[in-house]
Amino acid sequence: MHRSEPSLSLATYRILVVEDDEMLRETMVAIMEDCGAGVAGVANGSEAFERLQSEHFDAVITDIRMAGGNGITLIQNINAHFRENRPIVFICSGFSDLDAHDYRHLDVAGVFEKPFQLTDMVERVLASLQSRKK
Amino acid sequence: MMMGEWHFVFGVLSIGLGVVSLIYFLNYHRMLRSFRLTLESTSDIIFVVDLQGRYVDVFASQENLLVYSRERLIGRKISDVVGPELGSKVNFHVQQAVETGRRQVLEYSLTLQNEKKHFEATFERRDSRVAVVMIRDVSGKVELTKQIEEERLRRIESVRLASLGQVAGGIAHEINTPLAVILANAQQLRRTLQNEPLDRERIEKNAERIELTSQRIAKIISGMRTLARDGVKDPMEPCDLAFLVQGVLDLCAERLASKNVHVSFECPRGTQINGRFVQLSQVLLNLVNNAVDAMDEAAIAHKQIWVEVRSLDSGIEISIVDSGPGVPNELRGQLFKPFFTTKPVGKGSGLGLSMSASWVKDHGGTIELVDDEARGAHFLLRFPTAHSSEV
Ligand SMILES: Nc1ncnc2c1ncn2[C@@H]1O[C@H](COP(=O)(O)OP(=O)(O)OP(=O)(O)O)[C@@H](O)[C@H]1O
Ligand SMILES: [Mg+2]
Repeated sequence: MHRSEPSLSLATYRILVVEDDEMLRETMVAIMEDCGAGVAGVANGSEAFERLQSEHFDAVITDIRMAGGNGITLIQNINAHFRENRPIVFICSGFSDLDAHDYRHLDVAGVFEKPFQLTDMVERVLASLQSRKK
Repeated sequence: MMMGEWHFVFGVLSIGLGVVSLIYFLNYHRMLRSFRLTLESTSDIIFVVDLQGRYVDVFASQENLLVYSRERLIGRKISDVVGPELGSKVNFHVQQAVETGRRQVLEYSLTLQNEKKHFEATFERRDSRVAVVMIRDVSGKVELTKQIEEERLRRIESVRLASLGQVAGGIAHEINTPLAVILANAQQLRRTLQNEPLDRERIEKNAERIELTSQRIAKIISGMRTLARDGVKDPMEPCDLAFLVQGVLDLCAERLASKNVHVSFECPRGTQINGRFVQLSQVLLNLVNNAVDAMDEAAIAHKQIWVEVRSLDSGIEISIVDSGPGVPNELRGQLFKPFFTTKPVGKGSGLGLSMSASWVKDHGGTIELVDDEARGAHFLLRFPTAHSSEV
């Protein structure tokens, strides 16, 4: 009756989840940990940027609207600060934010609209990470 | 008695009658002339009515405005023609006009030839027994007033929806985020169930998150419903201000967060005012939205809103203060006028503050912009203390 989940492995990757909703953040972190990734979760853009400056992450998945440092500013900071080792950036966001900004100039690998399918998210993050490695 | 005497009596009587009718005749013509004038200028029907509630005379600009012809009306009782209910109202006003000499006005409607018509009757004393009733067909006017009123309600409705629309973006986000939580946890639950042995702790955790998050959505929706409702006819009841203000702030939470606005809220425990919860919430919502707009527009670096509730002997005060640019002196006088807005077309209707002011007034309160040297705009609301029943 239910389809079996494809076995996804994010092993060896480090991912930073930036989401101000605590429960969503916890769930995202748990699922990606299940897939083997090293995951850290933070609640806003400024915290995220601090983490990024002291640790390496392969990918960042960030919400847009957050109290205390929004996602757009975070992505701009990432773009200004990193060159070769820039993490791949994904946006996870409520639908209503999507028309507010133009993401195309921000070099974002994907946008996940809430509520998103987690498997879909993991697959796409994995695909991006693998294609970059090649 | 002698015949001559009878003749004399009759003679005197008839002279008397003659004089009376002559006077009446002259008066009648003067009356008629003035009636005609009035008839042509303003009135559609004029009745002369006596204290017994009978038609003494009738003039109509159009026959079809009368239930019966003039001839059939004269001498009849009004209540026999228009029914006892309207009849007694007319009699009452005739008496009032005759006794006090003051002009009386009565509005009523009648169905004539299957068409409902509205009339306005003005009663004026003619002498100690008779009043003149001038009647205007105001059906057109009533229809117009009704249209204006409907238009006004539509406007108010659209404003309410617009201010709701402003937070709707935030609400979509507010609901999409918890939906994402539910979806993610359901998916994780399913994955967990595929692995033996079952990780019960984890399953419990997923279920708990789904439960809590569903309740959160329910709360958001009920808050939304509250504000989307039309609160005009709600009864006045004691409203807990801490609860009310927090509800409004919760509803704006996303918008406040996305614009990076900090909020401080102080309210003495148990402060209440007597009022309509929804309307008061809408007043506060508009003030908060205005503050956010003003600070956003002026690109203020540190955006802050203070909501302060004070319970004083003189009543309850609520201050909504922002760290924005404030209101320029030259605009202060216009702020509460309907349709005054400095916002772009489609964004502000300029009705927020004027509607707020009238609602606050309905609550026996006041709203004003007060000077606040240190901060930005400071709106001060004052309400009478709610007389809560003794506990
Ligand atoms: N906190 C504030 N700081 C500065 N100006 C303000 C503030 N609040 C209101 N104003 C000014 O008062 C005007 C009228 O406000 P009002 O709430 O009546 O209408 P609006 O906000 O323009 O439109 P609407 O409320 O229908 O969206 C605003 O356009 C703005 O210029
Ligand atoms: Mg407003």
